[in-house]
Amino acid sequence: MSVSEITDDFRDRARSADILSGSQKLMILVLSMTLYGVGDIVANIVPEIQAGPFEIGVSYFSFIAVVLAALLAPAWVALGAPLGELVFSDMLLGDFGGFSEIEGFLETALAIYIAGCLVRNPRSLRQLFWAPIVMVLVDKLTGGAIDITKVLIGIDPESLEESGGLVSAFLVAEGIDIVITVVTSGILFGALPAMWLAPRLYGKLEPIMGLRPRDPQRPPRMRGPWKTSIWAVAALAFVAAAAVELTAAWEEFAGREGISVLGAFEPDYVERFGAVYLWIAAAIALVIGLGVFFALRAVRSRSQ
Amino acid sequence: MSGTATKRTGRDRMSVEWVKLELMRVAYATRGGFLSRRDPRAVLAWYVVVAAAPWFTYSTTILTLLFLAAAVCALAARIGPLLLALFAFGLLGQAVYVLVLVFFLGGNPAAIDGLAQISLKLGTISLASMAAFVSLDPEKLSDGLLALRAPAMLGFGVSYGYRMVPLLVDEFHTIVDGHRLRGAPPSGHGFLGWRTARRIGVIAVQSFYPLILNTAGRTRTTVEALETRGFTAAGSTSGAGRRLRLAHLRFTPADAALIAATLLFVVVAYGVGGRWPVIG
Repeated sequence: MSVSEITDDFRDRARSADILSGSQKLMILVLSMTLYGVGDIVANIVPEIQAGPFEIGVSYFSFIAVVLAALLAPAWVALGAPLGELVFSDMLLGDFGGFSEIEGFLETALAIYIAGCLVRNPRSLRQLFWAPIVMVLVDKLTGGAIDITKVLIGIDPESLEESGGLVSAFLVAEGIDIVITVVTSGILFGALPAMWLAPRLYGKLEPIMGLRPRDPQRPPRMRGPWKTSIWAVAALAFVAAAAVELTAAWEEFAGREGISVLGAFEPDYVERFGAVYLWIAAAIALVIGLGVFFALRAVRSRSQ
Repeated sequence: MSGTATKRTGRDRMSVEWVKLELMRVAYATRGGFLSRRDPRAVLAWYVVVAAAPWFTYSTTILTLLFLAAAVCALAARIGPLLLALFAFGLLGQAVYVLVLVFFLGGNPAAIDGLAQISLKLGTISLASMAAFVSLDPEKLSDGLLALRAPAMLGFGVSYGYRMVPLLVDEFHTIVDGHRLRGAPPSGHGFLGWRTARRIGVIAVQSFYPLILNTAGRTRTTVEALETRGFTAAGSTSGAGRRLRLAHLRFTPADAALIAATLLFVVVAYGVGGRWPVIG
């Protein structure tokens, strides 16, 4: 048998990405975690150029996540990579935003999953070009929407009213930030390296993990867990990410002048009920969170 | 370096070697401190209390009290100078950035009070997370997560990563050095040093090619070793394997006292700060 025949024979016997054993899931999770963690540390070392208030620098190495998600099972890479970021660059270095980090985790995971499913053929340069850009856009647009609310919630409604320009200032800053990130993290450290790396790793990385290389004819389907639609999962992830902020987000509801631009819904819970509403909101968020958790567990145990 | 006998001073602290050592110290919790002797569950509970407390108030007095307490705890947990410097730098940088935004893009100095609040909140949380995770070595952290019924994969992944990342950073460094040794140096820096920047970027990206393959091999070896010892089969999330792993955890009265004292402090801070709002 020639080498290529042996390889083909091996590929036929290797598992496809649809059916993974427990240890393969663990391998993919740990691999993407450590690699993305290292990439994150390196990205922090790369010097940044300060242009006025805006920093031109690499916020993350999106190519690592995209290449891994394009070659291996995207769902597990999507879980692993943001976990690596959380553990290494955030927890280890103390740059940990507390519970609000869950928001970033959900956004990044969703972005990586969508990007990984977009690459049907890891040899196609066109798909590899668009995947990191889509990843950065999904990550930054969902993040930006929540970020603006996040800026509003930490600030008193009174001082926000007095500084009317603040909201628009942050909107401008977010917009410019997204453009810069798409160029640096999406194209320079996303699309270009991915186009170089993925075709070279294709067929080399998967056998090490005991996996069949991705078949362009049968790409991973954009399906959520338990055969739900990915869009439902995406919407749920976005809502959950926003809900994480709910404990402190009461001012969005209480806000008056500055926020009415964003949403017309402004009942004055806090004025009526006082700061007690804060604790009630937190309790409700906790109950909803636990409810979702137990519902998911019930669904999973029934499907098994 | 002749070990710990020589005191590091001045420019010696700026070396990459020192940064790596400092990262290792953080990852392996070798500095000691009041939280490192506690049960991991107690440390995680302490962290949840301290990190959640600032979100429920908009009084600068209460926030200042909480921030000071977190700072004292962070110092008592013996955070290294690298992390403290990074933290101070980040806090200052954020403040300057937001102030510039407020003044240049139309705003009001009255917003500074609000900005001080958000800085105090984020600062408290950062200090608490530094204190907690500097004091938990990988083993304790994964045991604590497992004891709190987190998925076994998460616990393993976190402790494996904690141990591996310093090694991988080292390996990455070696690969980059190899690239720089073999490659031709760029002909000059170019306009704004773009040639140098491009070279650094290209090497940083190309170094990931061997790194990805090496790490995949290493991961596979580790997971296979785990499986031969029955990681999945023995069920480390439930049953005998889990009990065996968690048998050494002891939740002592001292741990309970730590959590009780923290809760008491938070309640007192809210009471005092609400009664006498000195700062606002």
